[in-house]
Amino acid sequence: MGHSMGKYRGILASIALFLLLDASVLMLNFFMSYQIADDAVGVNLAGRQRMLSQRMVKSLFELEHNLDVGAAIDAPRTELAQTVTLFDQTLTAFSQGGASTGASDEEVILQAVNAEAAQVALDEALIVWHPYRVRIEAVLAGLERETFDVRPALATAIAYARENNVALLTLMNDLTVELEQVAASKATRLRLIQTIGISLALINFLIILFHFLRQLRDSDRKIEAARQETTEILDTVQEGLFLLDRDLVIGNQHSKHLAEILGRTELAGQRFDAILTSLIGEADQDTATKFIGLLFEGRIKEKLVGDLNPLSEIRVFLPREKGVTESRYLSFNFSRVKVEGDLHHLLVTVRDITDRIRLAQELEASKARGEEQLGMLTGILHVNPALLESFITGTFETFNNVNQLLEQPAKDTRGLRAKIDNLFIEVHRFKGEAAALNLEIFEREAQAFEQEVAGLRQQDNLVGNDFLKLTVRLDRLIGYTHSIQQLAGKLATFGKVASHGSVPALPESWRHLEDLARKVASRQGKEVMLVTSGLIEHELPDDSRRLVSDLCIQFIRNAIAHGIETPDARLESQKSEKGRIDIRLVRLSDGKLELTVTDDGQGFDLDAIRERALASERWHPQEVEGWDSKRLTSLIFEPGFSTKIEADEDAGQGVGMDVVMRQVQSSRGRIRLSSRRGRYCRFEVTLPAPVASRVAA
Amino acid sequence: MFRLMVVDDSNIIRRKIQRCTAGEQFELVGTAANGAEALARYDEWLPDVVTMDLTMPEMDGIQCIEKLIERDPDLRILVVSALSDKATGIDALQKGAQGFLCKPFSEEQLAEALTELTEDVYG
Repeated sequence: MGHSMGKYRGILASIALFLLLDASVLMLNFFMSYQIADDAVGVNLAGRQRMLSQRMVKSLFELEHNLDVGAAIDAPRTELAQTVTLFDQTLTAFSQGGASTGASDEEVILQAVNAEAAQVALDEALIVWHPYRVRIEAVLAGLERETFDVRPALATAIAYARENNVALLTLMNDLTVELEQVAASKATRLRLIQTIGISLALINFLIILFHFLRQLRDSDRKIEAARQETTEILDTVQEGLFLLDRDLVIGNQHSKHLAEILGRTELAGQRFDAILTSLIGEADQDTATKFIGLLFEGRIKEKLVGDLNPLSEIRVFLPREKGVTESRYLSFNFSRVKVEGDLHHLLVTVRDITDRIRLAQELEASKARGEEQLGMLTGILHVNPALLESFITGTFETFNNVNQLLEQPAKDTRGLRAKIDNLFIEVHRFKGEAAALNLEIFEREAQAFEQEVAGLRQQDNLVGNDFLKLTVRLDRLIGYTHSIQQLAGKLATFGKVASHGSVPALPESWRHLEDLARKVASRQGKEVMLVTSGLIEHELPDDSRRLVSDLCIQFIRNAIAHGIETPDARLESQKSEKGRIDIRLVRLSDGKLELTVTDDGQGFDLDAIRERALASERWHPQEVEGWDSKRLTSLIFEPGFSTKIEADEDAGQGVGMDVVMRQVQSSRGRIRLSSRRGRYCRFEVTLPAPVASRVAA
Repeated sequence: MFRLMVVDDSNIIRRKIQRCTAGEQFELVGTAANGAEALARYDEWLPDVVTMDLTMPEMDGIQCIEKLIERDPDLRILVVSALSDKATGIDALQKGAQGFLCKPFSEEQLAEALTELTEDVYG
């Protein structure tokens, strides 16, 4: 309060000054008006003195005449007596102050004249008047006595009058003029005072006005700035924000996003319960309204009722275009807003939590699926435990890589594309391994993952969020792997007990290649025979064995998908119905490993590759026309390049051979390729000698 | 020192609340396994603060809260219940309880809730 009073102190002082000034001017005005009125009486009486002196002379003459002709003298006598008395009384009053008689016989009080010139005139008049009065009084006294002859006295008086009347008249005139001047000067002063007073009041008023306007402008500016800030906040926040009063009416301002979140405009001043009814139905609205009502009750502990908020996670149906409704999940949060201890409003925050809920639901579902498929996993755990262990280790590595790729921020579309390519490679390799081990769930999941990635690849505008669903898939895959790992652990103990610790025979660890070949072939409607040599004979360290296995998987898939023809086609080309894939692993004299994979399929179709290269529009057509067979065959190692038109589980995504190339390069090996159209295709991979220390004893 | 009454049909919950309120702030004056028992012993125990389960045999929490508030409108009641039905919880608050604590709860959560419940009452 003290502070707000200070704000108005200036203006209050100005108003007080204004009133004081006005009052002073008014009082002065009254005072001077009375004085001027008094002066006017004086001026009048002074004027009357001139008239009286004339009438005295006239009465004297009339008296003399009437006496001469013997006429009645009563009238002039009375006249003379009255004028003398009145003149004397008035002159004395002017001189010493005192009573006199006014124009209408009322008593008037005169102040002694104090203007200098008037006083001089008055003094002189008194000197002339005294002898005059004495003489007239002698005449009047004589007339009282009937036998007395007044003529001599009358003659003396008339003689004096003749001699002095003009002087007296002039003096009375001077007095009048002088008094008039005094009055006039007072009037002038009064006008001056009035003018000054009014001017001061006017200046004061202007100052007040100026201050007032300035304060008004300042406060307007502050209010406008505050309003602007509020608007900016409300326009920017991602949440829906609004105030709710006790009558459940939405406040005048709300955040811009509120309209979007609630799927309707014109919310200000609307009833919240009505809006809720349209969003969630009558029954839920009723509970929500009760809850909101509780928050307005002071006795309820706000911090202790948050759990009961029925709108903390609620499914709503929002109206969309053309009468379609969309289901979303919203979260309403209510906080008491107290102003000086009084609760008038609740601040309501609304968020659209649909993505969060859906993600949680998906995670939940994936967890459930994981558990459900655990049983299935048990059934397919016929795989060699050592191989399984190696698969699991490799799988976690893959997931790690995938995870890193997913977490890696990509700045632009190019970065995102590279991310997709790399993801594809990782998952594709994983899919191959899973297929080789007959782990169908993994294969299926990997396939789904791959398809998501393929979908992203075709998307024009990629954003980081597009990768979110991949995270869910990855989570699911990791879940499966954990389950399978646990099972494998149990199985290993079981196996040990059963077989007294005997290590499974070496050929087991390569059997998956045969399984893979059989499976891919049946999917492709082909027949194939796998012939291997050197795989069993050379005991390799784990990482080398994994690498060789990975390479074989890709070569086998590639050979069946692209090389080996269908049985009919083979018969036409006078080949046996069953295709043949030869895998040979040898250890060279310098310790290096040489892996050769040959299929007796159709060899490279250079024309198809060239056509595909042209269609991909990655290179200039003239450039492609000029390529030799070596350059053309090297294309199969390009990421995203495939001659297969329609993608299936085995080929066509354009990933496979580039995985091979990458793996070979990263282990500092070399790869050679030879082919003869219609006869065969051969990959020769040379790998550095395995590190001795890691060779199993 | 507040006189505390615990109303819950679960012996485990009663013991748990008893354990976490054993301090300087609260004195456990009695525990009841249902609303009827709580009402019967109310005059004897005269609690300031009550923790109240909602689903109980004989007399449920809502009825009990209503009757307790009739006897002492200033009684502080904390509903301690599972969050299966929010509407029932809201009913309990409308009948006169001031707060709600969701089962399962930790010792810290209970202590905080009871402190919050009694913060504006004399020490």
